[in-house]
Amino acid sequence: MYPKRRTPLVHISVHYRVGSSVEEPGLSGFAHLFEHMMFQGSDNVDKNEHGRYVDEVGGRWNASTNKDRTNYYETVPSNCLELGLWLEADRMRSLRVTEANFENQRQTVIEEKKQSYDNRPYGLAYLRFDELAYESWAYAHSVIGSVSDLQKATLEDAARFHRTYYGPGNATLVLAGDLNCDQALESVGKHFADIPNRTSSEGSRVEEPKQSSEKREVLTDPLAVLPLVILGYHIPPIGLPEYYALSLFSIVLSDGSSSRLHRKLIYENNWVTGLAAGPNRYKGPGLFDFWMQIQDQVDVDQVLKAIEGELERFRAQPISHLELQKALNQIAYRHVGRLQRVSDIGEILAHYAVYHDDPNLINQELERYLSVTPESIREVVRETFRAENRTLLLVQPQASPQESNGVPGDEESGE
Amino acid sequence: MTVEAPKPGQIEPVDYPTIPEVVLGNGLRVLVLEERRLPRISIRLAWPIGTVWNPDENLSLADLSVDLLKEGTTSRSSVDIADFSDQLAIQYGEDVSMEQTHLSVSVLDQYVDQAMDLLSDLVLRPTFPEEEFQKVRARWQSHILSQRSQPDFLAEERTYRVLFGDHPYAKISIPPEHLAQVERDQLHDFYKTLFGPDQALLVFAGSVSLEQATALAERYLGEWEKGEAPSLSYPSVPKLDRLQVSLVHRPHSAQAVISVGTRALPRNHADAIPLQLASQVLGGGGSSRLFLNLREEKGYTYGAYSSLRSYRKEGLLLATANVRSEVCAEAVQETLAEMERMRQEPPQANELQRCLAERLGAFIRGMESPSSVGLLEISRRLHNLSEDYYRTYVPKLKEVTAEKVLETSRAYIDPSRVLVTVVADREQVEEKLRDLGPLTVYDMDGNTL
Repeated sequence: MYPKRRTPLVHISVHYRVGSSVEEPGLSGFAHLFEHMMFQGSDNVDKNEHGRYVDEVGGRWNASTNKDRTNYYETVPSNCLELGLWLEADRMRSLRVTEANFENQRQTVIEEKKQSYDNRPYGLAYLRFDELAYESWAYAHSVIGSVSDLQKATLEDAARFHRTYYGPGNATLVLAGDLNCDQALESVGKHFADIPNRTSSEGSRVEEPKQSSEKREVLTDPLAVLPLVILGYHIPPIGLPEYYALSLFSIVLSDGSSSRLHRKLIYENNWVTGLAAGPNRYKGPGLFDFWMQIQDQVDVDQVLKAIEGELERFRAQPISHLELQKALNQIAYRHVGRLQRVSDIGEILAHYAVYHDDPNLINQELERYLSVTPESIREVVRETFRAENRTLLLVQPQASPQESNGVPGDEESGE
Repeated sequence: MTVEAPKPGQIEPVDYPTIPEVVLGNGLRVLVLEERRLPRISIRLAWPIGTVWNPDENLSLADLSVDLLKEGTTSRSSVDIADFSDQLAIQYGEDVSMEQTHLSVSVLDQYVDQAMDLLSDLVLRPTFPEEEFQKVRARWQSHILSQRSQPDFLAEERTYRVLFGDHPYAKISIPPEHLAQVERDQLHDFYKTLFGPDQALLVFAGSVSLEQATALAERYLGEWEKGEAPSLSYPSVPKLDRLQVSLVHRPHSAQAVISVGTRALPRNHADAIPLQLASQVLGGGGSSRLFLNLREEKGYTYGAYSSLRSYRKEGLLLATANVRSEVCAEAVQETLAEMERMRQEPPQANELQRCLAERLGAFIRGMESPSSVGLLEISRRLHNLSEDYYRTYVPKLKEVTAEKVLETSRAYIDPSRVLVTVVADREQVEEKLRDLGPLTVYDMDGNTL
């Protein structure tokens, strides 16, 4: 609980330690499909009523699924805390989904996949990249899953999933905002204490074997107009000293116009149109990703060579204290920025609880960043950015922009 | 066993603050929202000038001239500016929209002097270096190329083009040839002519007092010379007299993006708040009619919504969804039917009550940080809303009756006079769309096919 009143709002968040990483092969996408079922009815709350209850008091609600966890939240006026707890408790305790509603949400999720990935430039590459980089099925397959697997999912799977993963022993409840802790705790006890802890899972422990040679793949994307390169290097799980060193390193490498890659690839040469790089923030074995959209007519190898050249500079010489200070200033600024809204604070506390088993890390993480030195960054850079540890996915547009501009219709397209 | 939901209390009202204001000698208005909870200050400089001020012959001037501010001043190069701001974690941002331009710097309070120094340098002493201009132009060329591959962007562009016709509001995208033709001097002149202190607002929010903010503004922006306050007159454009369909052919599309649009109201119109509630009933959020029908009942889409967009002289109501291509025409039909239902019967009492609470909740969340209150205040002034607009917003919402929503819907939501825009692979959707009304097919560059 984080009691702090500025506006009369309270954020309620329930994180379950279950994400797509627990899915069996053949049931990809199920954890997320199940997330939709949590809005389709429980013992005392009918389909769509969860949202309606929250909307009727002017609240905001949603949920999301990633590889490691599923979260459900509502931000409501603080005098509606009791209502929010009752709603979350009811669907933790029970699930009442009909065949028709299950089918409806299956369709909805298939359209979500199309909207978020299939109909967007580079959407397919996004789904493909982890498949290529990870050997472990748990992280390799996408959260949204494949349509054929979604088609196979059944209502019985949903009931079993709820039993296995949605008990109180697998959940973290966070309250943030305008609240009285004693009263809130009493209400939590009233609604949640008698829910049996039927959870039999301990969550998944993802193991990723050490990669011994580089992986490369080329993919064609008919919706893209420029090439895209995604690079990934395997790194240790979140929360270890390497993670903090790599996070600071990524700021020096690629955050902001003053970063080394931005200056080289965008400002000086205009070889890429945009870039992002950094740790992927999975709970288990991570990747340090680079995403770059390549300018028209630019040689991809030239860009890769330039990146390698920059990495070599980091290996050869530790970053300056001025650069380290810059990265720490950025971290300090971000930390303050996320303490403004009750919804942000609530979600961050839950994140620390679920990913680090320590919500109080919100107050101590800065020290972990402060213990990073230029030399420790150099060490982890040397260890991480090796060719055999790398995965490269190149996305090519189907036609160059010049050609597609000249062809008005699709009469000749040969699908 | 059925258990009843706990009864919620009444939503507590949140008072919109009285915002102290100081006017400098050059006309710059300084507003301060002091809140000492976090050691951070956000500073926003806003002008009521945007892309509609672009001359017809070149629609790139507003975006490029503002983008170039950070690429060189009399005392700092582009590289110096990037190094300086990143080193101190000064978050610099620029945002150019149709009728507004914002520059913002947000910073830990210990660096507020440096942040103001930087802001003043960019605003007062930009040099628009030729070499940097070439780089910025090249970046915009790839930006608009990528933009044109996004289906949502294509839908929006087509909607504005057709609904606004010859009105400057129609021109929301930059034609590639304008980028090819633009010259450095045009950007310099555009900025120098239009972006003066007299129409601008400087809003400080966070860990800063009125005295401190005024002193900072005076010190760093006091010497900014008054300009010629620009004015712009808009032509009037007729509204659609029947339903029209625009289909943008995007080969290989995996879905159809649909958008049903109609011209609505500027925010200072007496019916604007009732229309907000009508739009909320129709498609505001996950309990609305469009969402429940198109997603929760039919499974056509991941989400269907409606929203209002308001400009100083005009507004738009847009109902949008990304749907399965096979049911594109059906999804449009359902959207039109929901619009028609808004005209046939008033909303249920509990439905209106919910929509009112949703608006109220959004308003309260909009006041969660001092900088977001600053944004509300900037928009209040831009849209010429009364001094007490936000202070009386809650009672104004509460006095809207179901009958008033019906009456407002009848006046502004007419499915027989809307523009239906679809972005999809024409092979999959065209035939059934032709049954809806007269249809024009465009390619992704906006040429008719």
